[in-house]
Amino acid sequence: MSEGEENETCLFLSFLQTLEKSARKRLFEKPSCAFFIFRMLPPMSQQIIVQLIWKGNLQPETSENIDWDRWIKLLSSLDIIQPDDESTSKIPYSIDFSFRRSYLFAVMSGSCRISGLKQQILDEKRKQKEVGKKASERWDCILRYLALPTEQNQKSVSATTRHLFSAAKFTSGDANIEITTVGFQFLLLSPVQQMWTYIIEYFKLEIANGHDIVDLLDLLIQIVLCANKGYEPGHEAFVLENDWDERQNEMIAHLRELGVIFIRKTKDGIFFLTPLLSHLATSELSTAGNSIEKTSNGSVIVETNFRLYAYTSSPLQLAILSTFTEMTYRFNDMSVGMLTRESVRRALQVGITAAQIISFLRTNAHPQCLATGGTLNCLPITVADQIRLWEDERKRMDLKDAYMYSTFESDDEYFGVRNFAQQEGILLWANNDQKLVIVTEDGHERVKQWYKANRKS
Amino acid sequence: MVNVKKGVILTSDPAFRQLLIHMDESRQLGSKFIVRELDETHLFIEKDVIPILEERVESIMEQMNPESNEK
Repeated sequence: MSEGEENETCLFLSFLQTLEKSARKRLFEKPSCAFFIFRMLPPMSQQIIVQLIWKGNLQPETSENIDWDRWIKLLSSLDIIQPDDESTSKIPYSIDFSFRRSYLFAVMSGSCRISGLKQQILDEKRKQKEVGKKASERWDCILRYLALPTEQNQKSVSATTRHLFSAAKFTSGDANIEITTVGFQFLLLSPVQQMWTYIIEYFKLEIANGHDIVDLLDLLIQIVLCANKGYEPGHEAFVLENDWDERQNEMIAHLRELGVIFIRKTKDGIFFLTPLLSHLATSELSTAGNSIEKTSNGSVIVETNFRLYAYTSSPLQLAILSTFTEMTYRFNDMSVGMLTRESVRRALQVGITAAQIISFLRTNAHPQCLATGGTLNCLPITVADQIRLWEDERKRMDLKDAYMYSTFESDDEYFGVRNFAQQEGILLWANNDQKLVIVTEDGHERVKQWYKANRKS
Repeated sequence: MVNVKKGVILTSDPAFRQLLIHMDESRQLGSKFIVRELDETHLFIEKDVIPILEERVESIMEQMNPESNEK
């Protein structure tokens, strides 16, 4: 189950959880941030917030059989709600005061107005028609550098991005830069995940350098909030404020390099939103069937006989494919390869998962495969299954560090330890006949404390 | 007095567990490594043998793979 629960929190919220409480509180005071956080929450958590704001308490209908704990845990870990002793409700929680005020303010005024960015009206001539293309070129440059950090590709990315990738351990080495396993995993992620991972690594780096990121996050969120449904990339321009500080300007430069905003020339004093910005406006969890990802021109055809055809000349795509495919022929605009046990195992051995390979093949499926097979069957089921089987056969044993307790003095002692471990959720294995208890490595300390407490009494 | 032992709990299918027990009895890793046989699917083993054990298991599994035998 732990895996399923992990998936419930998107990258942005998980990052938020790692921030200091005071930083989160400061974010709540800004309507734009509170509203954006609300948007990124899973539906059930949103429901809790809405109920707390409008009804003042949480009174679940008795007929509803919903497990609230998980959603409440998420919200309290973000400090949006806190336990309330005075509440008489069955689930006694109250909402953070400033979050509530900011959220209400934001819903009343609408997401574009709270963003606080000044829009500039443009005449027809100055509108940027090609921002979409330019934006994807920028983003491709970054990915290409990561896949093949050659000197030529190095020139196309900024020093800060290079620094960011090495700090995030996506690349290793100083003179001879090479991509790491983590870096390869990054390449296999969906565009939304990649975008968020990049941004979050950037924030982590800022924190590591001792900078305060609240204002940066605020600015980012303001920009993202402008990417509403139906916004026209390249048609609306926003003013680059003069009073943004150095760090904020540096983040703008980062966003420009990522291709999520477009600046023709810095002295123009304006920036445009690009279609890529919508990646940041969604959490990666809600985008399973997202249209943006599907329209990216896939080029990969996988046949049921494990043969793979890639109608592309992009070195980036081919580099990624070759991590788990045995490439046999390379032509000008297409390449042929085989998915073999060996080649997939090679990828698995460096830490790439079967799920990542499968999702990469699906997101990059050729439009014709998508037309006949749909988003799921564009990769033949047999192939997907086999890739998973190849992964499973490496997992014949599951190892967990643990502590084993044996030779208990009495039955009471045995049951005491066992029940305590069970309550704490640290019990891995127990047997009444053998009188053995095995707990997790972290649980050992707690069992020690239990012993101390029980000896006194 | 209760006895505490640090180690690793290993979960696997029964067939695989039998292979491990055989490896333990024939001392293929140089020494015995199973601390306790728990049940059909669980073993409690020493922590320090794990790197060697994983390597050994990998090579045994490779030998049994039909594809590489054909080559």
